Formats: sequence, structure tokens, C-alpha cells
Amino acid sequence: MAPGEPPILRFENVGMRYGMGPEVISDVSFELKRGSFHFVMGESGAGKSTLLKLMYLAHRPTRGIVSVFGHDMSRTPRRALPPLRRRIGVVFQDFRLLDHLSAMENVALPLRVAGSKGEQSRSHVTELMNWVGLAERMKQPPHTLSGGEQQRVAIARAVINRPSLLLADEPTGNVDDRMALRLLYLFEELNKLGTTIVIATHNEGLVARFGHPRLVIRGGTVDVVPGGAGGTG
Amino acid sequence: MRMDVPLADDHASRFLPWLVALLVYLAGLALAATLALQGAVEKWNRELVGTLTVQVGGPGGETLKAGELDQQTAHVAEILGRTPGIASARVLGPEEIAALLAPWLGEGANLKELPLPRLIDVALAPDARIDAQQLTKELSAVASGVNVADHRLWLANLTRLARSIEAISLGVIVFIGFVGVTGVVFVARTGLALHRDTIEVLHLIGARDGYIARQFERHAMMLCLKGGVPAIALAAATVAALDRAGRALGPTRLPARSLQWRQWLALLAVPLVATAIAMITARVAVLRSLARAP
Repeated sequence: MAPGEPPILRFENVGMRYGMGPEVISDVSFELKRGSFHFVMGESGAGKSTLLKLMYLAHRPTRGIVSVFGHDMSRTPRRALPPLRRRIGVVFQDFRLLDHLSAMENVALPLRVAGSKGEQSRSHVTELMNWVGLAERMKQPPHTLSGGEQQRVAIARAVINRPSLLLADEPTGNVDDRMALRLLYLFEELNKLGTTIVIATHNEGLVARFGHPRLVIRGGTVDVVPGGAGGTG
Repeated sequence: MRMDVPLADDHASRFLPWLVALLVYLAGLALAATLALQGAVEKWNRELVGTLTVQVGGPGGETLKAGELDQQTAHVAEILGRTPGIASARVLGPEEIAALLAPWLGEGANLKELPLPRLIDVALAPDARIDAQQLTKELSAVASGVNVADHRLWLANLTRLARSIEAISLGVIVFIGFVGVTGVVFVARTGLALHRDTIEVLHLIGARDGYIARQFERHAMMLCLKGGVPAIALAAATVAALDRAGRALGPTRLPARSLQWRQWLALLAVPLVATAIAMITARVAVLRSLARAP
């Protein structure tokens, strides 16, 4: 990050509750630099998904400041959110693919939403489907694909717009270790191209292997743990 | 092209074309009635404003012989021609009287045997004010069974009645529109509820509310055209059938039934207007609902 450049993500004393329930996360403060790679770790129900939802602008915090690309979300009007969301790629835990569309149409969706023209977007999508190894199955609807294939479609959809920030919620949850490793190498490649990556996962072995810094959620608060000795090879 | 929000599969969407078909059919008939009535009122106004009809040999003059009656009629016409405010007075010929009586007696009735009064068609000068009662009194001095019919009073009553029927028809059209709008809002809201997850995904990948609303708009357009086009064709066929049935009755004093080509165009525009209203309604309903999303 160049000096004076704002962090891509900044949380300052953030608290989040659903309805009148207790705070799922409270007093969370941290910053993510542009081009960084972080894992989000924590037990089930610790608030990983909530943290990610705040990052991909599905929710606004109950209190505190969430700043994304330098925009304070508490002051950003609703109409200004779509351009910000287009700069964020999300791999949802349950993929959230649209079943009435083909795999290819699912991947093309962010381009269509952003107003890209058909021909240009088709070649881009085909290229990406090749990249995730699904060129042969791109006309299939998601429900006919295996869990791993659906996950790759979800990843392709998340990266098609070349997002500045890529958030993935348990992206290795449905695949075997070999595929999980392959996916993380893929995220590393994207990271090297300048994309900031945040991955929520349970897989401690995988996290240890890569050695990136971690956001560890415990008791509703987040500790930033610096990267370990892990390597990427 | 496949839509991002699969609205076509919704059960709620299946009833809308039927509802639109019924509403467009009813609106088409109501509009046709309104237009026909408007045409009739305009025609009556055009033909009757600024005219009087003077009858000679009516009640009180039935005993006059034909020669005497013609003589008195000519005299009355002459007096009328000199009266200030009257532009012209023309005695109607037997054929014209036969044509006027045709709705009641039929074409080709032998009128020579009937003791019919004579009629004088009087054209008034622009802005002329004629006191029909006073004129009747003056003319009664020179002829028997004189009656001056001032059409303005009759026309005013008839126009008032026609305008009331027109207002009722327009009220029916507005009510039909309201029912249609309610149906579209219901379908749009149901679609929003059913496809909440899909819409959330679209939002999260950067779709604007307008992008999502356009999908609902397009869906409403397809459903409305699907129901509206056949319905207006049916309404037009009904109007044409009523027109043909009316013509079979022969000449009557009923309002002119045939619509002019512009009125036919207005009738055919009903499904297009309904579609435009449905699209706007769907858009507004969806945008208002989405505005409440985070």
C-alpha cells in the first residue's frame, strides 16, 4: 500500500446485532491493506459469516465504522452501493448460484449486471470456465453439477469482474484436500495480480500451510494474528 | 433471453393474463360505448343547435284539408322568413317527412293516406334568441295546430343524460384500471417475496434496483400483452357484431353506432395503455419495496 493510501477495509469499534438479539461481534477494529491476504478463523457460530457480510456490504453495522474502499458505510447512501459491490467478489458458503440459469450464465451475471456487451462477455466467460476446468459443463444448470463444480462456478462468478476485494466464505468446505489446495493456489494467483483476499475457513491445516495473517474471532471480538512461517509451495 | 429473476415460473403470474384479458375486454367495451355516445352527442349538436322545427296541422289542426294545410304552411314559412333572428325557413318535402318517420313506420310506408302535419325546418341566425312560446302564439294566428319545437331544451337534457352515461363509463374504466393495478402490485410483491434470495444475490453482485425492477417491468409487459391483445380483438369483434346487429334494425334515432377509424385506433390502444400502466406499476412497486432493503 502506498503511503497515505486508505486501507481497502477498515473496521473501527464495530458492533453488529440481528434485531433485538445480542451483539454477534462487538468492538471489532482492524484494517486490511490493499493487496493483502487474510484468513478469517473461528469456531462455528463465532461470527465469521457476519464479519464477511459486513465486508461485502450485505449489512450495515449496528454501531462503529465500516469503511470499504475509503467509503464510510454509515454515510454512504444506498444508491452508491452497487458500484462498490461490483468491486467486491464473493464466494458464498452455499454458493448461491441461480438454478434457472446455466453455469455460464451464472458466471456472466456480474458482467451483465454491470452492463457489459454480449460478445465481449461471452469470450471472457468461456476463458474463465476453461480456467476453472468447467468448459465442458458450462451449459449445464448448477443443480446438475457436483458440489466441487458448483464451488468452481461460484468462484468464477466472484472473479469475473476482476474484483479489488475477494471474499470467500468456507470455499474449501465442499471439496477434498487436493481440490482445496488447488483453489487456494488459485486465490494466491489472484492475490499476486493485486486482489485483496479474505477467506473464512475452518481448515487450520490449510491456513498453516499458507502462512497468511489471520483474523481470529473469539467471543465476538477479532484479533489480528500475523502470518506464520507457512509457505505457498 | 432468460431473465435473471425467474418470474415466469411463478404461480401468481399465471392468473394475471386472464385478469388483464377480462379487464381489457370490459374496458374496451366501456370505451367503445363512451366513444359512440360522444359521437352521437356531437352529431346531435352539429345538426340541431341553431335550428327550430315548426309544425303546422298538428294537434288542433287535424281537420284541415291537404290544400288548406299546404297554404297555411307556406304562409307560416313566409312569416318565419321575415322574422328577425331567423336565417331561413324551409318546408320539408314528403320524402324528407317519410325519412323521418321511417324508424317508426318502416321504409316505403304509404304516407299519403295519413293525416300528417307539415314541418318547416328553421335555421336561426348566429346568436339569435327566439322565444318559442311567443312565436307559437304569433303563428297560431295565421295557421291551425302550430307548434314550435325548440331543440335546445331537448338537446340539453339529452346531452346531460349522455354526459352522465359517459362519466359512468369513464368511472368504470378507472375502476377497471384500479383493479388491474392492484393485480400487478400483488404479482410484483409475490415475485419479490418468492425470489428474495435471487434478488439478494443480484444486489450483492452489484445490481441496481433499476436493473431488478426492469425484470419485473418486462415480465409485466409480457403478461399484459399475452392477456390484452386477444381480449381487445374479442372486444373489437363484439363491438362490430353489435354494430351489425344495430344496422339490421334499420334506421333508428339511436346514437350512431359505427366507430370512426380514430375511435377504432383508440380502442386498439387499450392493451397498449394497459401494458404501459402495468409496467409503470410493476416498476414503482418493486422500487418502493427494494428501497427498504439494506
